[in-house]
Amino acid sequence: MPNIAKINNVQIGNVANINGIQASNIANVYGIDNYIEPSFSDSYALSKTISTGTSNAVYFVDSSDTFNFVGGDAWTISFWIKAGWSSSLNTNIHFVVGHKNNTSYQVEDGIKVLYNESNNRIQVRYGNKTTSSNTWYKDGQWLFHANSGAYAAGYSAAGLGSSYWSATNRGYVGDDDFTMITITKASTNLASSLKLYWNANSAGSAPIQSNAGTANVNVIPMSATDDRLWSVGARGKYGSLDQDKAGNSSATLYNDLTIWDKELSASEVSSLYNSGTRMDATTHSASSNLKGYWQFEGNGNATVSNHNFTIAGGSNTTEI
Amino acid sequence: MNYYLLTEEQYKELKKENVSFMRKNIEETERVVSTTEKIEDSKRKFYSNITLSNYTSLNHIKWVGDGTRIDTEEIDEEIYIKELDN
Repeated sequence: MPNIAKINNVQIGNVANINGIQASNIANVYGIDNYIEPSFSDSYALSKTISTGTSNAVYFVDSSDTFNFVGGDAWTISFWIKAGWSSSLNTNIHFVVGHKNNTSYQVEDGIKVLYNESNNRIQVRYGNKTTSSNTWYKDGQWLFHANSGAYAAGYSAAGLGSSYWSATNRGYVGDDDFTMITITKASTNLASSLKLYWNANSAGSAPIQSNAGTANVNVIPMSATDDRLWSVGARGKYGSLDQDKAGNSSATLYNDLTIWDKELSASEVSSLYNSGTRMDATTHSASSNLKGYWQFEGNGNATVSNHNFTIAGGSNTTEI
Repeated sequence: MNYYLLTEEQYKELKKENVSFMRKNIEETERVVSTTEKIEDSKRKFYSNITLSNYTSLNHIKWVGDGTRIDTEEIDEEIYIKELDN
């Protein structure tokens, strides 16, 4: 019996036959000598500098199609964030962006999650754009400061009150003043498939939805094979634009980014939120659908997937 | 589409149902808008979304806090809703 890994919740007095097993091979038997601490640690976060350009970016190129979601795919992107921007930002700060590598258009094979500070709303858009006039996109926007009608869910979920989201008004937060933002998408290729969670609080489907563009989604579908550039804390690199829209005032912190190839349910998001304490996502009940996991514990290396973030220039990982 | 720089007073007179994009400056004393309405007494009229974007780049201290500009894609993509005026 050399391969027993876990005997959780079993009182040692009730274990009859473990003769001959070396204690060092038993990983989790609480209350006995040689107990091995879980490997999960959470002491660092990614600090994305407000300095811009590739030389200060946090990015990787997915050349193995791991995160090449297309319009009919279900997916979830979740991350913890500690706002560093001020109320005078008055423009967008991009949280997570994936688009075709070497492109002229952000939305070519694109998925983007951003905060529009000037209008106090999170915006999520995915779609495709192959020329200036040949495009389609699905777009959801959640407004946070209007406690009425379709906007009330976002107002209640975020806890920002009537003031906009910033470093001085972070709304509902978990440990270390981080907020867990989760975007889920069902497989239907419509803006109504997008949902937003602020921590474990559901803001529901977007109160502002747009299914727009001139192109037929079947004529220029999102590619499942083109390499994509994924960026955190800036809007990616396309055309003449190079990793800008990274905020103002002070660096925003990001932590425990996860990408899943399913639409997490409300209960699964709540489980991931873990009452406000960041958890080891590899132990989550949906971990078989966890395709990317970056803890930023001292570097940009992936815990799940083979795609390590380059963390350049003034961006770094910082002790929480 | 028409693109304007307006004072708060001029903006108040605008028919909001015709507005597709609106952005306040940082001090919230002026607004840039795109609207189907034709305005004769605007503070400034822009030839296109590009010239509006260029104006905010030249005057970025007044309009955006990160040293960039209001992009044409923001002008085209943002959806105006009346709750933003609250």
